[in-house]
Amino acid sequence: MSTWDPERDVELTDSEDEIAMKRDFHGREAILFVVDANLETERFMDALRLIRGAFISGMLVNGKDLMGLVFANTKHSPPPQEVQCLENITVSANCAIFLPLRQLTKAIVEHFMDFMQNAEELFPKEYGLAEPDGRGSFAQMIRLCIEMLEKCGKKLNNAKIVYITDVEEPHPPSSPEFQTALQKASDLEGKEFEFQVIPMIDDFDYEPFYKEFITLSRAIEIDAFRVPDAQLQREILEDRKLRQDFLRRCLGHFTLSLGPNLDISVQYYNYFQRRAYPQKVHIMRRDNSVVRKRRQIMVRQQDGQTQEITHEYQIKMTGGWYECKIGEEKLRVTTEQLNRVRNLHPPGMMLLGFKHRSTLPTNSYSKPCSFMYPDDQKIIGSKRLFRALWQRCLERAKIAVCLFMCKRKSVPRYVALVPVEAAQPDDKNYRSLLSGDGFKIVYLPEAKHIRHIDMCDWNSTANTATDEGVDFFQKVIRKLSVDYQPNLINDPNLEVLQSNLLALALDFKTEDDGLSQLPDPAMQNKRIEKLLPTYETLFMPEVEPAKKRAAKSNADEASAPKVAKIEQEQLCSYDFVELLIKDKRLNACTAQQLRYILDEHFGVKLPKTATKAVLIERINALSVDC
Amino acid sequence: MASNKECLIIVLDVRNCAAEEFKLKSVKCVAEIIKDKIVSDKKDYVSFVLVGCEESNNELYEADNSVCQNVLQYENTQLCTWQLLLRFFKFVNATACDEGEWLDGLDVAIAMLHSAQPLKCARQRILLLYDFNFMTQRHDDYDKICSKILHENIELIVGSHNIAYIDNAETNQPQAIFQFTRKSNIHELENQKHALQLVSNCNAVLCSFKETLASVFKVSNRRPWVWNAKLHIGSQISISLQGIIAMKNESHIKLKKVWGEDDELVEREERFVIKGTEVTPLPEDLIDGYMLGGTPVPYDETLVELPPAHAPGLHFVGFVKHSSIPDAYFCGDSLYMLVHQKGNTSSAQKLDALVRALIAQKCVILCWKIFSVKFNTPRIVVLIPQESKDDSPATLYMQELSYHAQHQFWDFPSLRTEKTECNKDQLKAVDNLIDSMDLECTLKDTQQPRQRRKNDLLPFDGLPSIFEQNVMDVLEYKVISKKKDEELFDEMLKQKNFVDVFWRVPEPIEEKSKQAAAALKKLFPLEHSYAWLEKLKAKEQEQNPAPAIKQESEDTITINSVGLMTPVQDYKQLLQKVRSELNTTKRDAQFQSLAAQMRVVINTLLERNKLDLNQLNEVIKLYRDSCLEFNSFAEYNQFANQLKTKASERNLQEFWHSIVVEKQLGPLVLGEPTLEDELRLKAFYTKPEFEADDAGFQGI
Repeated sequence: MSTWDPERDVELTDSEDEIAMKRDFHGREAILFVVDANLETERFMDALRLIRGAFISGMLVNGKDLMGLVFANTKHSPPPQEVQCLENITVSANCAIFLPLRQLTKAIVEHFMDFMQNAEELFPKEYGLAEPDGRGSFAQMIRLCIEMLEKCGKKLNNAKIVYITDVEEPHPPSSPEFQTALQKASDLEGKEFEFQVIPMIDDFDYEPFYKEFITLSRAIEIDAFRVPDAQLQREILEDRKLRQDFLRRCLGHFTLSLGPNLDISVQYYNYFQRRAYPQKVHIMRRDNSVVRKRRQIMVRQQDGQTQEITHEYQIKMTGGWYECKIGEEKLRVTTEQLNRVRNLHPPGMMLLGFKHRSTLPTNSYSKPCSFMYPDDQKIIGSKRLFRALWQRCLERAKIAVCLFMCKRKSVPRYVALVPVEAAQPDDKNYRSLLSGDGFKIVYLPEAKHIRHIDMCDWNSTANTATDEGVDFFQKVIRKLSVDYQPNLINDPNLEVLQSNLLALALDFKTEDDGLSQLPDPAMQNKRIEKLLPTYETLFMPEVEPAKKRAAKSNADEASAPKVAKIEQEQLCSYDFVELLIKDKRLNACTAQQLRYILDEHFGVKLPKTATKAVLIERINALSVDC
Repeated sequence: MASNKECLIIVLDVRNCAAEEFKLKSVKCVAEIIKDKIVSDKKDYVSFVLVGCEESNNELYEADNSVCQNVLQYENTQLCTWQLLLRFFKFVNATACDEGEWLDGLDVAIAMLHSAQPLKCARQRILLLYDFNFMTQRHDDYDKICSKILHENIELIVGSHNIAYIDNAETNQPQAIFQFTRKSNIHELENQKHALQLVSNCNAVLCSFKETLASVFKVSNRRPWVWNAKLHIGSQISISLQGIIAMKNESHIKLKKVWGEDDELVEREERFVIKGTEVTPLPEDLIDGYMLGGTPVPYDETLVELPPAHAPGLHFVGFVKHSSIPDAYFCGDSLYMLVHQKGNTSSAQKLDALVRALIAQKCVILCWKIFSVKFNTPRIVVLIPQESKDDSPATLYMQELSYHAQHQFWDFPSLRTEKTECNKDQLKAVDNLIDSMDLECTLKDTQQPRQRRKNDLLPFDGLPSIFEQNVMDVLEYKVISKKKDEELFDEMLKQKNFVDVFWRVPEPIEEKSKQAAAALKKLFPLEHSYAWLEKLKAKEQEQNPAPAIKQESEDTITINSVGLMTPVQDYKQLLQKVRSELNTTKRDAQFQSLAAQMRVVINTLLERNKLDLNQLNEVIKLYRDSCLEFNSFAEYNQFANQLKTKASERNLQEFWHSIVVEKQLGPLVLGEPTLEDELRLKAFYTKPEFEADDAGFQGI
């Protein structure tokens, strides 16, 4: 098994994870929830529950995100708990800020949960519904949101306004307010803020207003709008997930070269993020302050005679150099030089040719796939050529083979571009959320990554099962078939940790059956109960093949103490020990025995870390002194 | 751990009559093999045999001077090092002659493998690089040597330059043949016949140069590392399996990282900080915890009861349709193959039945994988069936899936819109590009012999590791030339051929693809967006304005900062440079950095015990004028206020009155001063509070 050895290690960094991490430094993500006061009590409470879910999962999954909450179309505008946040913000009429954009803390979530408890009664009294028709100015609401996002005091990388409503048009279509509202979409586009509407009804019609508003705010053609499924939108929002706008959150832009002087601009995305565990920290017991641990490498020069440190300096992880030996001579290769080797070719993708889709091996894997979509902003006209290529590849079942270097200092890789299509509008399952029209980037394993295994030791004619055996398993498969529902599969260890954290911090109890768990075999037994007797007749009981040697993991045998070459009793006599020293036979003693000699005859105890060589040296030195 | 090291003897043809190109290629080939073994730190043993040297020196010749003449053997087999590579380059240049027999070379190589037996290598291989040309060769020992190779389980790879591939008419499998490029004489045909027969006689692999390296690197492993696990379905059904890594995305380059010189002590240390201040807490002061949003939450086993560890193995969840699993959710860096436990027939039969049933039902298995008690995090995996083949039993491929919490949901507008609609000509041009860049079919129609074994210009199982190859090439260059680093890298950068060789369309379709791309370009107008370029530029400047400019000014100007000795001259000179900058944004930024230096200089001059009033007058005036020139009013006015404060603090009355007030070096005013401006100026020039007013200046 290959294990990681820091002594001999070259790090290759081209994982998307790292890119995603670096992006965090460019600013934070912000979600501003806006809840329409027009929602009837039940739907309103559902909306608040959605937000609570989003708050909690936001705290757990990505603690640095900023979140805010505004009520729209209210009669009154009571100030939020943190009144001073309104100092430089003008609250529009018929809007009320409940929470300005903040990184969530225990106190904020508790405050929200307190509010939720009595919201049914308090909300109509304290906030009320805008008069006369429950229609406050939509444009003013958007203005307030923009102001809040702009003045949140943090650099934002990705800001979203999430409007929860069940009203299909905020103003009558002929009214001037309707037009003003539409104009606000271009403000959002200019500021690169994203707008999403989460309908609290399933048959929500986007046509009258939101289709145009959303396409305008994203600067896409109106016929490219795909109607999202309302129920799915709500479900994923509770996990603090939103369908992300393709323009804002790509992993990177690059050019795809189709030939000499024929480049189109594209961008690429990941299908999933790196695994996010809550951030582990050290906390001071006395005042709960967070202690950060830093690892660093110190290099010290020591004076040969006095053992004093003459010079001391710290080096970065990226410091140091690589060494190769030519005989006695040592050559140095600095990390900077290795980086230059990586940078010998500029980033980008180059088309090498096409193959039939069937040539892509089914069981082949190198790293997670990405998704590629055209970008008309850099090279105008890219989208059309991209579409033509995509369409023809799709229709002719072709894949494009390319060489791809995603960013500077990364490693060039061969990829296959597989055309994929968005799900049909009536497709309502999770799979429909996977991606849209574009190319899936499949990373191809390099020849060196494929291991060739000679299976001759496994091959045997006796391996083939009887047809009855196959029938048996077919029946088992029918009994134990399930649907793949990705939304039900989560890391059980993470869920336990998260529910414990919530219980500790917020006294918030998660129901046990809400947690993902390893399946119960008893349930499975029950379903195939009738089949099991056949199993025993069809297949012989398994006989473990005899092991050639004891496995090392078996603690009793492997770590059995060494048999001493010299008997313990003899060591009691100093004469014998002296003889050993004289004949230089101390090596034959175990470390345990050497310690005994030191203790018994010289009255010296050495630290446990002392090696055998150190022990022997000490005994020799002491014996000379005697 | 099972050792899979090999012993490889490379036999090279160095005869004078062998083609020069062939000889160059074979040396390059050997160098690649050695480089690969050095860089990936393999424990393989290698040695060389030259056929066609004036000198005869080998084990067999020493025993009997009548055999194996003109064959030169390198010392014993060795581990690959850079030293070995350098020695090989020397060794291969031994004086050559026309005589030499390839069978003798093989014989010596076999003898060398015999002497290397104490090294206990798992595999013994011979690579023969030979030009089977018109020279006569004795084939008396042919059968004897063939049977030796066959019976001793020696793998033989034969590489030559005029080998090509065709598809065998009967089996449809690729087959190596010699290309008939010119009229071959009878000896040549005889030689080639014997070489071809090696395939059937001793399972040799015959390859062209392009394929030789792939054949050498393609090593199959009989004793791979395995992960032993049981697949449980319910509690009754269980199958003992072994997991073997089938593919892994990993780097093979192993270089030793060094942090300090030999005589320096290197230590990794942990430091603790609270809000930027370093602290040294006692271990008992600290408690582990997690961040929940902005709130730290203490968390350890004293506060919560941690759940018990899961049992290692594969825990069945359910059978799902293969088509319902999106491969876009596959994660991890490796692909495992699960096979039955070696020697366990019962589990083999169960697995075979399960795999066939799965294939019939088009299903896969969803289950939790617990690697071990130590690595206990459950991972959700799918097991994809793979039916038994001639050379392998039924297996399951195990692929890890990502969790729902990680998934991203994107909103991509559909591509089929009116704006992107294409006409017939455009689609035809795209079709033309697809056809002319076909990596598979171009050669299929013609039965021409080809250079690669597979009928594919870019076979998916033979993709090179480009970065690793580049690193090896750079290291080789470095080792051979031993030049100073900077020179070396500049040279490397100039000749980027070794990098660019990968970034090109395969040669047979290059020309056609160019034409197709040109036709495509005519039909699809593409234009770089200026708005985007501007935006990019602005973004770059926003991200790193200062350092970029500083570097630039350092490059071009002879002096790089304003000194204390001759501040006036320095500033004038640097100012001239700033003025010459054409880009206004850059110019302003450069001026700001220069102005900042000047302010520091003036402040330093004011700190001196004995003030040089003339000099101060000059520098401040110069600075004030430049601020006027570069519209930097606010900065100067702020500075003027600082001057006033400083004068007051340090009691610099003489400086204040005779320089600042008299020479009117106060705040700048834009255009005609308004009343407000005048009031402001007046306020400025009113004397600051000095500790002890000097009577001489009271009148002002």
